Amino acid sequence: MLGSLVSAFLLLAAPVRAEGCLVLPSGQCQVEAPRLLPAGSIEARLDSGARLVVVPAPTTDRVAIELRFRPPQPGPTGTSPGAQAQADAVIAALLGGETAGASGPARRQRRLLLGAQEELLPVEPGAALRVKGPSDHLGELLSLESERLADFSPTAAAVQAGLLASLAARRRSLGDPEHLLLDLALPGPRGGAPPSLLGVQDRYQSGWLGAALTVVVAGDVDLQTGLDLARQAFESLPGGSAGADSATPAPAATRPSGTGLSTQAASSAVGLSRVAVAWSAPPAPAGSRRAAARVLLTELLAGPDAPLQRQLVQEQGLVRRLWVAPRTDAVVVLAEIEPDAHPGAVHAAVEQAAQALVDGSAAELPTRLDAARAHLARQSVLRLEQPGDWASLVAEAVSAGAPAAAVDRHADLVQEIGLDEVQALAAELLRPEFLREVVLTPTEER
Amino acid sequence: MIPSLLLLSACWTRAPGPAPLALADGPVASFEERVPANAVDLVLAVRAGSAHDPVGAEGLAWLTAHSLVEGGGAALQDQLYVLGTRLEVEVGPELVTFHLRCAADDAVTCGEVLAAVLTKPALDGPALERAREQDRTALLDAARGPADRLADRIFDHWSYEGHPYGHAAEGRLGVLDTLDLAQVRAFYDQRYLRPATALGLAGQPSAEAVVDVQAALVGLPPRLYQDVTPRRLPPVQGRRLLVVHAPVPEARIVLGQALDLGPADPDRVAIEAGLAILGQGADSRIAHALRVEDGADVQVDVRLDAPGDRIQPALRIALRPAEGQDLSAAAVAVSELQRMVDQGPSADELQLWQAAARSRAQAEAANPVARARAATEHFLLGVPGLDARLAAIASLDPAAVQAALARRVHPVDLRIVLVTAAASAAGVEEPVEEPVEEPTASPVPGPTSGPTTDYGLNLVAVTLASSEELLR
Repeated sequence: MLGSLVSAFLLLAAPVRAEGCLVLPSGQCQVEAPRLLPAGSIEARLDSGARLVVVPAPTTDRVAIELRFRPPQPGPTGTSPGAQAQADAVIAALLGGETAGASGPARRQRRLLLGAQEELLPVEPGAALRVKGPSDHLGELLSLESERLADFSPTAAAVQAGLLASLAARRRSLGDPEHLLLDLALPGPRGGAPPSLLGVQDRYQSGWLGAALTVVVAGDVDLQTGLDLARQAFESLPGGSAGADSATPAPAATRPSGTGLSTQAASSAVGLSRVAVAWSAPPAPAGSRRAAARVLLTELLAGPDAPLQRQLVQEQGLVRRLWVAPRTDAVVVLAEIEPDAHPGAVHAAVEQAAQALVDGSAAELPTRLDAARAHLARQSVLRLEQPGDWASLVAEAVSAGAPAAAVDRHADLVQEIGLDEVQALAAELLRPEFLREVVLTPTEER
Repeated sequence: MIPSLLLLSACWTRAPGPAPLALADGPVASFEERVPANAVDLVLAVRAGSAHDPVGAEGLAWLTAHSLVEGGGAALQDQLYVLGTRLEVEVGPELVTFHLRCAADDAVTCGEVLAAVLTKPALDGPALERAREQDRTALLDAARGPADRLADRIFDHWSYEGHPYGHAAEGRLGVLDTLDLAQVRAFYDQRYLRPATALGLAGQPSAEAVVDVQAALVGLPPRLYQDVTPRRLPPVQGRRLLVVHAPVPEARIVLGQALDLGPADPDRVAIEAGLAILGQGADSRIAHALRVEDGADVQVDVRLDAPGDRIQPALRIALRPAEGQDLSAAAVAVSELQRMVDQGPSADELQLWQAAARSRAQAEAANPVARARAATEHFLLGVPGLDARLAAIASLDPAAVQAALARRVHPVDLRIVLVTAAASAAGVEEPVEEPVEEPTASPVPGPTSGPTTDYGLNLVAVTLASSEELLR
């Protein structure tokens, strides 16, 4: 039925599709991905090493600035990953909360009077700060952000407050069942003593440098003006070595090797039990074929149109809801299971679906790949609504070491990549030795 | 007699709500926010929210809205998948809102999909059962989740006792299994009406898409909408405390009162300003006072319900007290509320709030989807538009804020809900030891007098074996 729906859909939209048709070697016509990045975006690298992108996104008199820090991961002789991650979390909390310097509250007031709003986005590793405001105050807003970075000199009391704030943020995040499941399935670096004032200062001075910073200005902005103002604000930042390269493999601890299936159980305040089935994987560079192939793999494995959905939700009635988590370091299937269902049955079905994808035994795979491409092409357009969405999308790609054009490159690749490539990747990633399972049950049941 | 009645009905200016007779037989009101964009947003609001649930059938509005979507079955899901989107449904006390976001090229198809869900519903048994299971999950999540939602719901039950807002949109666990297909179909027939529906479009939909969706929505019946709100609010006299002992991980306090403020009442923005200064953010008065008093960072949030949510809003001060603080934190909050009502904000405080509020309103005005949604709320509920809001924000001064607070907010008459796992909350004498009896029509005990606390509050105490009991 889906095949006929896809055909009907393509026919309905025939005039547009005809213009954007990519002819494959097989003679098949594929939908061309729409351009995501507005024409005329500018990219620059400042002397401080910071990457800068200006995106003229359609809007009315508003601009969004996103600062994304991706401090380098520890080298073999550096501080322990856990201690460093704690220091990074404290720095992020202090930069976001502005409790670090005495001028923080004054800056917050100035920002309010300029009519700007700000938020600290949960981004790991590092931090992302987004400020939105009227475009005629762009210069002042950029200057306030650069002041925030230059003034960072916390006291011991501020570090203590930052530590509490970061712990509270972590507690809040683990209050969300999905975060808790992912945290258990794919644990980040942990451990080490709480960071000291000296530890935080050292980490800030050695890691939170220009080379680790991406600045994106999106919205109602004149390209040259945006470039000049941002250059003026961030040029004088201390430089340093580049942040974590997108191709750097994930820390070994996050990827079990040769240990077989690892299962964990936990309880939380949830209505129904939840299960995460996760294959950890090395991060794929943004804009690469692997990244695009992984998106298609996830979609075919457990997307809304996957047979696994029909099997578990409708036919067997084991699962209330099945979805995938968008991770760059893993392929993760999440399920909310019915009270009388056994988590093991869900896990077995997910593994079976993975095997079917690897073997290519499912006859409908080519049709589903077409539907998945159509779905992903439109979904990427629909995610972009406001200047902040543009800023976030571009910042994510650029901070991972890719050019801004990777945003469009990714969309093109999703349309280009064939089933054989997806299956080869599935065979490489969906192996039992990389598998973890986490079961989260309602508190009362334990 | 009859002509004079007709004349009377023609002159009667109902506010809020859509009801003029001429509208009933016309097309569905639609509002376009045209901006260059790759996407088109269709927002369809129907005045069929949970306030319209009949007594004893709480949750019917929620079930009906979700059954409409579930009625599309696998075919609808496949269609939405290829369109790269999903149909979002939001059921509030007043409005049910359907939101579909599509690529601009797909606007015609999306309009057809959305209109079909509403005008050609497949309300059958399987759809109802799927919706019922979703409802059950939502209710259980609320009961077993953090204390925030539980405390909020208990506060709503109590503050709006006997009022259409007195239950959660999802209804009650004890009622859920009694609702049947005939009731869902009857609710759809009675409430999904042309004059009670408004369509907002944002982006650059083609003329064909707009015409098609408007034509399809004419399929909704042209009967007159009968309102259920505004209604008289239950009176509150004195400060009344309800202590709920429940298995929650951390204590939560919600205190406040329901206010009889219409959506366009000129006092509304002034009260909103005073409350934000009182308790929003780390620099707010309550947060500051609690830091000074106890040296602890207590999470606080003070707000007035949005007019698009409830046309008769509640003022609520939500506190997550530090361990052992419980009612001392509530006492600080009440004392700060009294001070704000007596003295109003300072000029500096108000200026900062105005800057922040203007920025938020401008950001909303820059968002075409928010503008489309605001237009539907203006039509259906009489909520002032964004321009009127900006003007109201700019025109405030400290004296006006104080005067509005003094007129409308009465800190001597408050309902205070404390949800705690502690055996005896700090400052509360031994609670009345009586287990909850079999649930009755209202799951929250009535305002009977009980013992008093250290703070001179009338106390009603409830002990629960499970949080779910309160939602039955």
